[in-house]
Amino acid sequence: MIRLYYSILRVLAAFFLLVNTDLMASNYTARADYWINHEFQPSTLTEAQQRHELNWFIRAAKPFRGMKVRVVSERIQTHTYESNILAKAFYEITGIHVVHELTGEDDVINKLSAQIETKQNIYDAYINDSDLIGTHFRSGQVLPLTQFIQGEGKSVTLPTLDLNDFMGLEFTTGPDGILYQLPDQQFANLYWYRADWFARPDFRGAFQAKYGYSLDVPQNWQAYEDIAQFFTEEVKEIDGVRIYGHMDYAKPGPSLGWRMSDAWLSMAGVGDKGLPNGLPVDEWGIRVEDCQAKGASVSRGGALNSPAAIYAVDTFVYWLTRFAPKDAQNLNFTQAGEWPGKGIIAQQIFWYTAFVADLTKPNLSVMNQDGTPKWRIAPSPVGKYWQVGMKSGYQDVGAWTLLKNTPLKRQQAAWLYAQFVVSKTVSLKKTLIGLTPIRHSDIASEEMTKRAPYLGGLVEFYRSFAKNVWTPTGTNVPDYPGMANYWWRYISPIVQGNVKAEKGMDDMAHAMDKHLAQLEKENKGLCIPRLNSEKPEAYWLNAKGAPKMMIKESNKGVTLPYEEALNVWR
Amino acid sequence: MYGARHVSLVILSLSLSVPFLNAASKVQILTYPVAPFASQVDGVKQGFLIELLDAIFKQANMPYEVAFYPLKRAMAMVSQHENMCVLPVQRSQERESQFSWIGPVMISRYGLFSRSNKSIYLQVLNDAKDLNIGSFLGSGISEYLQGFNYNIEHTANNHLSLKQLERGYIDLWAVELMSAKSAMQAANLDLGDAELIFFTSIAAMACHSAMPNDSQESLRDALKALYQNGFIDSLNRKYGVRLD
Repeated sequence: MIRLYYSILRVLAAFFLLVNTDLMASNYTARADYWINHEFQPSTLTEAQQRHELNWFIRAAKPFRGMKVRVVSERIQTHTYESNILAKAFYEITGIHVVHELTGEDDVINKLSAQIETKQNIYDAYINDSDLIGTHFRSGQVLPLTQFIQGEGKSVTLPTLDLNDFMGLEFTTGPDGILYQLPDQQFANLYWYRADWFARPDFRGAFQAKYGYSLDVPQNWQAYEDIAQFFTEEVKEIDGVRIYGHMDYAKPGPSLGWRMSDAWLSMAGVGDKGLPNGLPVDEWGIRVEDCQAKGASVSRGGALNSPAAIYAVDTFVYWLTRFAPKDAQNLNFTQAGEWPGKGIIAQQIFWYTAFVADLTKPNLSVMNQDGTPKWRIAPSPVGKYWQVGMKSGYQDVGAWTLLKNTPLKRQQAAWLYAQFVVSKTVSLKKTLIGLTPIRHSDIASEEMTKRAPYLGGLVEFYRSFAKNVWTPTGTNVPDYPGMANYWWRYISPIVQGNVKAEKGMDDMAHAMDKHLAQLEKENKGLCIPRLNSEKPEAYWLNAKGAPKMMIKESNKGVTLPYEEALNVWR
Repeated sequence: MYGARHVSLVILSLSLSVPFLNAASKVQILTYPVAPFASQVDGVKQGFLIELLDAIFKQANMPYEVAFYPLKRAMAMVSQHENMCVLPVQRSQERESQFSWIGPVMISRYGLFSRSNKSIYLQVLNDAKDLNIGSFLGSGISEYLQGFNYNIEHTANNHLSLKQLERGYIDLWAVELMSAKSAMQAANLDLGDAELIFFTSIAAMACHSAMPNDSQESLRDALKALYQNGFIDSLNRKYGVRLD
């Protein structure tokens, strides 16, 4: 009897839910107004323009009302905002229920690979790093957005999407000129330092006296090393607290791999000139000619075990073990992210700006009372093999990626959500929450000018040319999911002192070559690798460009005042 | 050849004295009882994973042996013994370097269930932020939710979580959908559909990090072949495993 009573209750509840859904159906416009007034301010659009844009979503979503769409992304603040707030707003405005899952980036990649391999529609869309662009354009598994927008996705493509307004579009476009991914958020990896400590007259005087140049923003690795040594070994303590001139992380695992593959070798100067990535040799040390990978080892024309690559890894290990806190060796990227906020780090050469929001919380010791930070970010210093015309660092672009094996109707509904979370109606507010700008119009807005003093240099970076020189992994890498693990597996033993950098990089280069050879054998997709036959290393080292001959001499440290360091990129 | 036979006999005698751990020639597979995926009734091992394992190892032409252990203990054992694997395990960034991975062996959805006499409307996961969520320790999903600062009440297994839910000790039960169905059937309860299906997990087989590359490749190729020849599809249908 009780069971029957509860069954009736549940039926009634379901009925009222349906009625409620119907009421909402007649009320989408009112809900759009609510969200415009209560959440989506500020915006680069006027309220009338926002209303116009959301009305388009209401109309376009009509055939998809009642659908449940699943998407997945990594867990950073921007995506948390999308998952908690924007998915809710989208449902109330369109009637499409989105479950926006958050997980680690490696899990996103594993899931995307699993959907391709098992042919099960696990998700309707992925926010996947554009580092996979080389994989996506070759695989034939990813929906080419250029064609989709003109074809089956035309009726669900936002007229005010304004693709030219996206800053990172060239990172998500294949060498075939086709757009494969739509940027959702992006952040760079920059130099972070304590501007207040660098400004102290006592430190400036002592540094000048010891090193012969001023304590300012380092332009090359020698200056970074001098500053690291100065704070770790000369200053040592501030107000009785042990401080360090360098911070990093090296726990064996995927984040150590990304620490390397996210352009560390390009900062050293391993690859060739070229933007967004070096050609023919990129920062993974892979040589590509006519879109075909030719090899990663020097003997095949690559640079992964070249003198510049060994210099990059050796320098990483040397700084980590000599200048960073001991704990750094056992931290991953997430754990290390909070360390600069503790107030004991003077500078960090490799710092993801995804942490800006976390490091501007008012109660932190690295913040001033007026809400401005005591720290600044600036373009990173470069190693001795670097030359003008090369990329200078890494930028992460999380971008909407739809797979061909997702049913069309689900692709279309997911594409609506993807465009909603990057639409001009919401993107400025999202940028202010997560500080991962994707639109020129947002970064140029008055609101960002007002916020600039509180963001430590983030706005200045994105308003400069530097945003084009800090770039993601490019199209030279034909199988990112299959090859990314080599980085941490081969670098870990080097960091732990079990293997010399020369041997470790030789082994990794040969493993990469073997992987490329396997892809060549499988003979699937576009631009299939065609390995060069092996030649004596001297042949390639004496040729123009990468791989480069060893540079034995050290260069002198160079620094620039903060403003001048930014001016280099204006 | 004689030498090889002699070694086999030695291993066999050791295996008899310590039946499981010394069967060194076979890959030792550890799993744990989670109906309907793996269970042991009157000494008979059965379930989705048991059948899948049999197909993978036959396809790879590799001998193997299955034993049941609690997940945490099984993972500790695999990290110490070269010829061992455990499944199903959620692959994560933290675990990546500790094991060699063969997968995906299972794709599952996790949902939040409310008790049979109370509906809780959840539009996004964040709507459950102030509620008490029960989940069994080691399920992976409790760790996931804790990572986002949800209020988690741990239990030893799904059946206890279900009891806690019905007695009103917790507001929601976070559980894999197929396991939820089995636990409800066993308890003769019907909670209806999940209030929200909020997470998808890709489970894999975690093997010792030093498992020889050739063995890893054979197992991966075997699994891939089973996806391609439709075996896994039919197994999913047999056990009612589907992605809602």
